[in-house]
Amino acid sequence: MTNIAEPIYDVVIVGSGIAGALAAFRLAKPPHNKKVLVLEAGEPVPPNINEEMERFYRATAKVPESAYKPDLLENPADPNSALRDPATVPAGRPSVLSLAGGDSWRDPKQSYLIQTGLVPFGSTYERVGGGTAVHWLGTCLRFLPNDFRLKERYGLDWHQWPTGIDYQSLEKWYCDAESEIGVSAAVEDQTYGGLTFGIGSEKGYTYPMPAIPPSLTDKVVAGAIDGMAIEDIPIKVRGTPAARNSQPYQNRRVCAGNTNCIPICPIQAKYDPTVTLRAAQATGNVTIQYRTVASNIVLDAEGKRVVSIDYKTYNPDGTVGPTGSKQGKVFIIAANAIETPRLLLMSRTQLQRGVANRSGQVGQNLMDHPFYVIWGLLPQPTYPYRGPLSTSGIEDLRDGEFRHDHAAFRVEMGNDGWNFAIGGDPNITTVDFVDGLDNSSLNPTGKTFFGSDLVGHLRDIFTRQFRLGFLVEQQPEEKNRVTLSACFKDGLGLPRPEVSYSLSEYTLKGLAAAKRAGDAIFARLRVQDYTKNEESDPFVVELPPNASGKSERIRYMGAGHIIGTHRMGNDPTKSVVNANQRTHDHENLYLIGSGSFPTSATANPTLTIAALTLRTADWILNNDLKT
Amino acid sequence: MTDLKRRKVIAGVTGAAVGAAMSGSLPLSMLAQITEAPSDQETKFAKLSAALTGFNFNLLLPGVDTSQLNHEIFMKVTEKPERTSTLQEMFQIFPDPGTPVQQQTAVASIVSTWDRKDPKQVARCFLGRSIILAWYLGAWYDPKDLETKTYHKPEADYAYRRYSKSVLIPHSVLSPSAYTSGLIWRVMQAHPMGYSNLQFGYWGENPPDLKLFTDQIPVP
Repeated sequence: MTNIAEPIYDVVIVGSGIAGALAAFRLAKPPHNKKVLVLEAGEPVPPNINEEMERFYRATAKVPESAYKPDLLENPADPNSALRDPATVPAGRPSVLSLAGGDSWRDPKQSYLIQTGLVPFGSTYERVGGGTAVHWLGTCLRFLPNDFRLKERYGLDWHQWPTGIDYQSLEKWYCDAESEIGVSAAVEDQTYGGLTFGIGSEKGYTYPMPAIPPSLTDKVVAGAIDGMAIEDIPIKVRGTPAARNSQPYQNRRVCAGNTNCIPICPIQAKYDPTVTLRAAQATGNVTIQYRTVASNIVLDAEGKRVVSIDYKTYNPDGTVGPTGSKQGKVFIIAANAIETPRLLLMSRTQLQRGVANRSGQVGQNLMDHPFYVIWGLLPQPTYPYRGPLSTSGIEDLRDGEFRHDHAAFRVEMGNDGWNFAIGGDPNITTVDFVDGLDNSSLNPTGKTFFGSDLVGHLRDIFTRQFRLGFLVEQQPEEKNRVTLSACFKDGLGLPRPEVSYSLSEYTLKGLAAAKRAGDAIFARLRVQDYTKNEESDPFVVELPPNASGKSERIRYMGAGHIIGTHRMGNDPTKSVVNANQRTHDHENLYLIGSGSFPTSATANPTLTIAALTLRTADWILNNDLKT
Repeated sequence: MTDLKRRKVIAGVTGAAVGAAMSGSLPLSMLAQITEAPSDQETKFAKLSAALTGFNFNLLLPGVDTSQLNHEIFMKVTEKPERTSTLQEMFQIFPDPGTPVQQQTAVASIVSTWDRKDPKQVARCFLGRSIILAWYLGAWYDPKDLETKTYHKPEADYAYRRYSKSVLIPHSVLSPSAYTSGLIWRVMQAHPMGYSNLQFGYWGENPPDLKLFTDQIPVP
């Protein structure tokens, strides 16, 4: 029954991250002018970022979440404070702090995610206005043509991308996304792996802004390794396409190299979804309801269409607020690849398996880019801790015949020294040399320094710090999945996500190849390697034996790329959404975001999330909401 | 308003004041507060700090002290009576006036060695190290925590070197201004992560000479 006091929106969107924000703006802006309601679980976008900057400056551990509400610690002013128990947080989220050593990743009093897998799922996310991309790096790589045809090209018996989704058909949406969020890059840097630009256009394609200049580190590394071969493939240092202004763009400033893209750019030279949310609201057609946690999707009697979404709310002080329900013509769930399946699985009042889950695939095939990080000292200073956190990478190993055998990977080059690699430099190394410790492995004899000797010693180290990160494609596996915890609830009484995660042989072989590549690059650069793995670290895994039968152990991290829990496909029995990201089961329910990806490829997922979102919004305008 | 509270207010506006001062638009009333002469104790503290940190006294306590970091660290050190007594002992050991060599020798005797049989010496050593870290990192590492970790030499303590309240030596950021004023960013010839007044593309060029970072007096 329709409540006349309550409007029926054209579109109700759950989640205000990059997918939800772009969808809202595209649907609401003239000439379409659709009436859009966005339900956001987290806190509102603040009027300015001063409070977030102060929160970041004051944070002892400057992890990605450190700038954003809610506070991670029970008492943020107390350095000995415990983490907040997720059972008391209305809209909880995973935190790097709960992955920091020992068994905390398995402790429901510290970890919002209930982790039951063989190894930890290492990625985290935000539930806040703007979503997780408030603290993304800004990397805007496109998928490669072969990423969409792994079965055809490499014989991998993995679930395939649906008909109609390939590089050629996505290219115009990549261009659209790059314009919408503002990407700086040079096409000539990006011609590898079969990438094409501007096919059919007379002038050819240019990115919205010129490339971000390379750092000194990039130049030194390029000078030493350009042309060397890995897996018989010549490699080359290339500028990374970035959602970071090299010119004034969309009324935002040029990058000033604050070296702080994660957790927060102080001048918003890096795009984040709050930019699009503001533009969406400026249309006058978008309403955003914050601190509103969608809890149940209501279907019509036949179960074919969604009628409304029920939600719970909480107040600014964290106390529970009123519940409610919103009606719409079209519904889009854009809550990330853990919260989206969680909502579908919670919606069991009419369908026992949950909404959109006739295939049983909801929550399955959870992926990340297992992130292998190595660090060391270059022979000469290249002055890190300056410029954007990363300006270049090595992309040539994202595709090749080796994909028959092992996972592909890309290499991200850091301008941030050992900052996150060793868990918090400059503090770790500085304390070592002042207090005679050796957490950095740089001070094994426990020497102490002061005065000008301290200046000289630290200067010598910090100006030569260098790190590389390898993002490895992960094989999709049904056993890696998100379900609902039977025991543990959040502060609103809703079941928390339970995650089971592991790495397949194919993925581990990709990590082994990444290690071989890293060893070769460090040797060529004459880097003193200080990478360390601790046996007690739950993220340390054993690699498959190499050619000489030797097994090595390395540490992976989460890349923050949560992928694959409501995958696309042609077959409704084996996938959750179709090529338009519409659920197979419900004709007005769409699931958008990297949860729709059947495979993870090696590109950071955000640009592809954006491209697919714009494509889906276009489909909705031309079909569901065609006037 | 007490002196302490007023000082804290000044520290709170320092971020804005730095920018305004750099651009020459600092209100005269604020400038007067920042240029208030430090106490003798705070001046002595800055001299001791210069020897401990290897930085120029005039950089740590410039005539127009927009960062107020010297004051902030001094107040942190002296918020507990036992630390105030230890600091007074350090002042007695530290020759002022004294030659650079005399001052370096005195500081070496404070922070480089400690003997468990002499609790006062142990207290001086780790307070000296806390002061160095406060200047470098804008964060307070309690001398007792530094002492404990050094006694135990926890090379095998995996949890100790990772992100978490339980895995780093407990410490707290003194203030946003202290974080951005930390000397470590100068040692790197860089800028605080999250606070850059530099121009687009600077990261592709060599930074200015180290001496400019360690000795240059900030211009109001």
